[in-house]
Amino acid sequence: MKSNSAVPILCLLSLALTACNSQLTVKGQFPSPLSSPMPLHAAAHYSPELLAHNYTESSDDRDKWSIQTGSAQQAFFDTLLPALFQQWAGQSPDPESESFQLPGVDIVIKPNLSDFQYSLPRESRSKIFEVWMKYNMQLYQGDGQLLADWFVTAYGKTPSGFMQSDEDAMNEAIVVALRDLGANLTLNFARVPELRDWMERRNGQDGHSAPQAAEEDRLKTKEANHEDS
Amino acid sequence: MKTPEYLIALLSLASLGACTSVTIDEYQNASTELGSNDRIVVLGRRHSAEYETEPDLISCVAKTISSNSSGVSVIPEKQFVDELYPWFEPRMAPMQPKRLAALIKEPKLKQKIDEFNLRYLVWIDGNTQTTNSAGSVGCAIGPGGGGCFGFGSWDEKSDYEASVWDYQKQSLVAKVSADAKGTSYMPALVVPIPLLARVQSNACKGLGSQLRDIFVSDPSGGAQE
Repeated sequence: MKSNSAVPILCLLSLALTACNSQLTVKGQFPSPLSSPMPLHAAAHYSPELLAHNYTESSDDRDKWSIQTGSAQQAFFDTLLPALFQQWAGQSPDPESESFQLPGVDIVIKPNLSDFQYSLPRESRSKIFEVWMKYNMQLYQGDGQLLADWFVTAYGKTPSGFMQSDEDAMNEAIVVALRDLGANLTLNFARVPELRDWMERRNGQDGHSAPQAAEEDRLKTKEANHEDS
Repeated sequence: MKTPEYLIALLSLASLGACTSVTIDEYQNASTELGSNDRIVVLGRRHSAEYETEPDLISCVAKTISSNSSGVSVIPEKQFVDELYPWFEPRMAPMQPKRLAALIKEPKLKQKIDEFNLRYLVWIDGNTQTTNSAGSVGCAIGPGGGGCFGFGSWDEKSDYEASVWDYQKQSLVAKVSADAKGTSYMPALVVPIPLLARVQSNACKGLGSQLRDIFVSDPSGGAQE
């Protein structure tokens, strides 16, 4: 009898403990960007840390969220990056590994998620979920030499009112943040100074006048768009 | 059979709860010309950090514009934004009509917009928020049953502005604003009965109807007030 009465109490206790726990594996579909591709043969390397990224809230003052973003990030980069370049070589080995060589490939992109933050409606006293993501983008040449290393930020928010659950709202905010990252990269990738200089040098050496002209046109268009917006 | 008094009181409150006032203002500086294949798109502004124009409001306005056999073909917001990604993301969306010209220098973007047969863009900015609340409702449960008692009320306010852009001329055609206010009640006599003022819904209907009048040629020769 004693053990029987303990069952509902244990159930209630476990319910109370899990009431503020949220488990989320981010899922989303990402559109391919409409953009004139850069005249480069590119590949990407996703680190194990990126693919297994799992944010676990450690603060005692906040709800216990566990957010897995690895597969969503891979889906996002797999859609975005091939559309930014004229030729895409797919996934590459780690360009930081010894004896790395990827013949025929101009650049290897290695994105790293360096910071992830969120805000819940009850914290911001608004009806929106907000997400901030900060990426360290690293660009390597086909021989493994580091070409550029810079940070890009992304922001996403979603109103909570029309969502089924907090998890749905958080998922949507992260998807919006990744889309914002895509907008940022589409607009600004060709403007990374080290990449521009390298392309200018390379085109000058190879005498690639046509691709250079195309790239200059592309940069001018983006410059104009940016100035206007 | 006598109707209980509290039921009469609730019905009276229900009639009060249904009240929402909507004010529509319109400014139009050019007439619209929608060809048989021309389409429009209704988009929400999402650049503000403090609020977000609700996606359900945008789809409601789009539905209202294309209702009543208006013949206006509206491109769904999500389809438009996804297929033109990333040019209409909050970070990159044009804030003024003349900036469309800079945007369509990207050849792939221009081609895609042309495939949509886009003629007008309707940008909607604003939101619905709770401005005030009062009262309280308490609920209790015991061995003999349970129930809720009390009374709560809250005010809601919608404030939206729609800007109509001519894609071909890259100019502003019209602006329509909709302000709606209403109070919702929650009396609880054993069972809580929400008497909701449909503030956002009424703002949507007012805004959508006025926008529809802008696009649908009016035999009397002008947009309705």
